[in-house]
Amino acid sequence: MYCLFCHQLIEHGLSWQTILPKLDPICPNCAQLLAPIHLPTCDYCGRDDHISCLDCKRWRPSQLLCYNRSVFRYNTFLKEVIARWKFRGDYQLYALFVHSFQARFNQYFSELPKHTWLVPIPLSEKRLAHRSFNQAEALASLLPRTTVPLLKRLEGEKQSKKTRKHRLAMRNPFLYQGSQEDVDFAQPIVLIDDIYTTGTTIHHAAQRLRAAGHQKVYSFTLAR
Amino acid sequence: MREYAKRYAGRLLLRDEIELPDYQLQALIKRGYFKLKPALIKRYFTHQCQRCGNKARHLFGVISCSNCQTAHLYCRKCIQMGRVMSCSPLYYWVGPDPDWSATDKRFAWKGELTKTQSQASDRVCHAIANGVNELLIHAVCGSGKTEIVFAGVAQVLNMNKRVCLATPRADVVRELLPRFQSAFPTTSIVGLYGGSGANQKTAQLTLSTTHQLLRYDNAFDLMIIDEMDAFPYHADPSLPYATKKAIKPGATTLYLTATPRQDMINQSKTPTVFVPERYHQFPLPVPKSVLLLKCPDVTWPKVFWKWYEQRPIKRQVLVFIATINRTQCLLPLIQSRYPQARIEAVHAKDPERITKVDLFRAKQLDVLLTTTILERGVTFPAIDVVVLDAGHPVFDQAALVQIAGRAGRSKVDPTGEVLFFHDGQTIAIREAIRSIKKMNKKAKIGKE
Repeated sequence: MYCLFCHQLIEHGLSWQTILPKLDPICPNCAQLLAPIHLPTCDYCGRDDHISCLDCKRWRPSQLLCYNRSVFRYNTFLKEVIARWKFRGDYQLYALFVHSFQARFNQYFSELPKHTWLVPIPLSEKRLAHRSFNQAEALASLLPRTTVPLLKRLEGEKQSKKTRKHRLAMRNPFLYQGSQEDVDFAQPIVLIDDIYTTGTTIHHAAQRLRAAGHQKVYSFTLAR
Repeated sequence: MREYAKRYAGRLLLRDEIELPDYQLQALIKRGYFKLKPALIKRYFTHQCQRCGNKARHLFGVISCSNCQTAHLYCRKCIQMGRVMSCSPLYYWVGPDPDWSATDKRFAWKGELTKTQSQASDRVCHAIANGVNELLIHAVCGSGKTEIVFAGVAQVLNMNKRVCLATPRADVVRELLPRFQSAFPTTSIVGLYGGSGANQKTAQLTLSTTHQLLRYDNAFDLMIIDEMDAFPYHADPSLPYATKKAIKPGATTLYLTATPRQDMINQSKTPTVFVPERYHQFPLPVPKSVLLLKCPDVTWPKVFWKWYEQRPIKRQVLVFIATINRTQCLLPLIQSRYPQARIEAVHAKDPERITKVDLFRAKQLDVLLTTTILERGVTFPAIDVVVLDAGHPVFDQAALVQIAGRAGRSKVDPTGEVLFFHDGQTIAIREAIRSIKKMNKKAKIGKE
């Protein structure tokens, strides 16, 4: 097996796992650069290095979101991985995260009912055509819950090109597109995205969902 | 249409790389100016990327594509240059050939060739005129390889044909670009390397890293491959594939190197030109091999201090060290011993690499510690060269010959000391010294 990120050959010793493959396609060198979040210290945004951060002080009073949880810290290595995945379009890289993403979801959201809905953060049509995949949808498809596209995104500038100040001042780019008949508003919703940086995107999406009548909105992201 | 021909002829492009709106591109395809070909094709038990030639199964990924609503393959090998997917074709120009005759092809190089250089230069021109496919120019370090090919390049440019000089190293492209620009001031020249920002530009004379040639197909009438034995040209099969793909049938390929790999000499019947003499006609400095009882990894040998302090001429010193870790251990030691001297270290991952090398070239540094990244393609006028632990496996014969070739490159100060510190002579050290002596002998015979 080869490491998906650095293409080095990975040599595993012969064991039961050889025939029952449950190994991530990542070499030990790359794996040690990932920083998994084991125990979040902030019960709101899911960080593990601050107790209450500036972003949370802003968002917590709005009560839009129950809480956010993330799998990894957004360090330089993960930045590089996500850049290659999203911007270069190396879709296959999602396989690096399969097991940890599933395991953390089960850990953090185990008390939610089985019929919880996943809502991946959408891309605008133009960007989707260019990239030919939506990274949030790819992540959502790894989880054993139903994915429901309740949101739509309008055209806008690239998020990652904006400064922090700009992002916070942005208008809400999402539209709600669920119909009254087939939506159960008591159903908990978990928003799925790749990165939670300032929390603006997630809270914009949550705001639309809450405004439409959904009572409980959580979010789960790959990086924080 | 002329502009399009210049911009697109000889290239193999993704849709994103063609800066035309859809309707315009469709019109060009209808009129037979562009053709399409599948990006990935099936090959017996695997697939092959038509841009980079990748056949390795683990370097193909499956993407569930939202444009065509299916899951299909894409190439992960050349993804740095844009994604090649099986649902979108590659485009190539089949319209009229680009017309490069509009500008005059002034050849402004006023230097003079030595006797051996002009002999080699004549062989090059002769090979081009007669349509010889391959020619190996085995020229020692500092023999003026670039000047040798100038006449051949001018000849091809005057026939309104395209020339490419490709090399595995971006540093070499950066160094050669100004030299070619001053030699051919009116010709359109472009330098392509990762991060140059000019990678979609085209010109009659292209200087490029071998990687960037992946975007070319059936383009050049003369291909010059400089430092063809340098890493990673042989380690990565897509690079020879790219250079083969980029030339036109019947084109001439020149290989320039000071250290051809043994298999290139043995198996190939490639006609070879030797240039055993440096441009200033002084012999190559022969390395001194210095045997130590033990070559310490992270401290400096005492012999080095002694040599450093007692040298008759205080030239700048370039110290080659086997690994990045060792450079970082050794740097503080030498800095604390000579606090008044200006000393720095560079390695491949160093963000300030380019500025430090420029400082050294401008004589703003006294000592530069380096890994093998500076072994070739860079010229410092008058330096002494030291290799610590020359028996380390990263220093193979070619590397040692190239390293020794950094010394004594100036006409004013054509000698320079080369020292190999080791704790037991390896085959590489012995063969490197032997081959340098052999070239010096050849040069002497040529003169008589």
